[in-house]
Amino acid sequence: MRSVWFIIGTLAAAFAIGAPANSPRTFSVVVHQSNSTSNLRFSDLQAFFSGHGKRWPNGSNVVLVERSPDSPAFRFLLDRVLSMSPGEYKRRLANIEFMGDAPVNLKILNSEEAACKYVFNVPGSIALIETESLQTSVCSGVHVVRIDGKLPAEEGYRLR
Amino acid sequence: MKIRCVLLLVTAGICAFGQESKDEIIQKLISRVEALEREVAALKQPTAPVVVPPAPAQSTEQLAAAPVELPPAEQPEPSRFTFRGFGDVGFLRNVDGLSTKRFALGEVDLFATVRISPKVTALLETVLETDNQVFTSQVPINVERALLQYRANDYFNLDLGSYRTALGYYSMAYLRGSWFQTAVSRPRMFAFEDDGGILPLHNVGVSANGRIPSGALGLHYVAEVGSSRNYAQPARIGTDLAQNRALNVAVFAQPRSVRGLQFGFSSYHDQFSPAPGYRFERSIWTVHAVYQAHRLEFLNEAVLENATHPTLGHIGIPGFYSQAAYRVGSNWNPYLRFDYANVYGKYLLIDSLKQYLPWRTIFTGGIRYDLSESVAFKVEVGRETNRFQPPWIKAAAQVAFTF
Repeated sequence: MRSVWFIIGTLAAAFAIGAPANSPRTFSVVVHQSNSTSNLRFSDLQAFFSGHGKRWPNGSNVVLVERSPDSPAFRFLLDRVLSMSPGEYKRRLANIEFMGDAPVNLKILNSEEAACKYVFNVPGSIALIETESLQTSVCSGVHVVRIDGKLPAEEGYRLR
Repeated sequence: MKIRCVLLLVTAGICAFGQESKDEIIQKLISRVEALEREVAALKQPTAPVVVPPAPAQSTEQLAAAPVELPPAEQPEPSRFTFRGFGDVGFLRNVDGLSTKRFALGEVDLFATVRISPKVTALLETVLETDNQVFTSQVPINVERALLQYRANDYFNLDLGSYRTALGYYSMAYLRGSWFQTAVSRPRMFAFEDDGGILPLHNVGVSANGRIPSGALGLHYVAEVGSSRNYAQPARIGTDLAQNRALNVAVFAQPRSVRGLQFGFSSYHDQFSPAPGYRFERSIWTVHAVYQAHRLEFLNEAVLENATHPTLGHIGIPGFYSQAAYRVGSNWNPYLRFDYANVYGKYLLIDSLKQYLPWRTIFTGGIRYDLSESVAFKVEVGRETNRFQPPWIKAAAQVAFTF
């Protein structure tokens, strides 16, 4: 019995030493600089990216900017924000149009920089990107939105 | 005075036409800017990899990685034309308690929309119903929906043409296209009219819909005036022989605070003629409560259909179904469903009605596995009770896909 505990303890220690001390990724929501929305509720974010919410408070259309399906940002969006599988998400977006509603206005871009650039150019757009991408010069021209009143660096921020 | 009025109308028409033309020009400019953006990106980075996975929606457009400085642009619109198809192939065992085993080609659903102008869209959905095929060389073609849609704003939209009736939830969310629905089979209450269904799921007329200003409650309305379909099969019991006006009103809520929750009701009224010479006043009430989020799908709907004849009396058909599914992992969706329906009332032809609606309860269990984002494999087993034969076990497997 003692040897069993010894093995378990050794394995636990090995995992503890071997585990990378990586900090969790943080994600940010960015919009065009002219967008007067500075704070979004988490439920609003879910509504936008699930296709339920299609307009900003000023009445302009929401343009979703998403990263490619293999990116951390897209995986985080599905796993942690929408709780959907890629198949469910595809069905969800297709069903909106199938039900006769206006289709979701969606752009898929294959780099963080391209997402920032698109948001910089299109007033109604919104993107979920990795926070560390904000340090690039390309992403300096977009506006970071608070989620439930918190910015990415603040305690209790939900997108991490 | 008349001349002034005519002049005013003509002026207004010209203004409206001018506005439409401006919007068209803006759209063309946006398309041109995006094309130039792609060209410049390709010139700047000729060796940059442009490997992009498939897009999850028709309106998706993908760009190369290299960003290009552009002045702030207008709002881009979804593409003008979208097309989507749905199909399914299945294997059925003892579906009606009398048959054995067979492969079955399901329906082929072709769905397309065209944006005619920023606020006007044409929608066409055509179904090739191979399950109703009588002769090998004849496949029934069903114009499921043919709509001219005017989208004024969030609060008022108008659909003109052949629409699906806003009766409950399932008919609205999964009218066709087996790929959309979790289960192999539909809830029996929402069977199609030409498959023995008792609800008028299709109408031809005018439908207005939109949001109701209600804050976080997220209320929506649908108001429809039309005529239920005549399938031109007078021999079939239940065919709506009378082309009468139908009025339907539906209200549902999608509370902002509980994502995925929807509940509401609908009230439908028309004249129903199950056989020549018999005309009933029909009313259909539905209520539904649906939750679809966090891996869970929980659908609940109840229907009460009443038909009254001045001399023959009245009949009532209460029914409901409840379906629960939970996603396990990323692709597995086991599900369970219970369907129930009954017939009651004073009606001289009540026995005919029971022939028309023979089933009482159906227990269904199955699993859906998404082979890819566009292909799903489903297996289902059910037990059905019927007024005229002993209970039986049935099974079905299906591959449903979209393209």
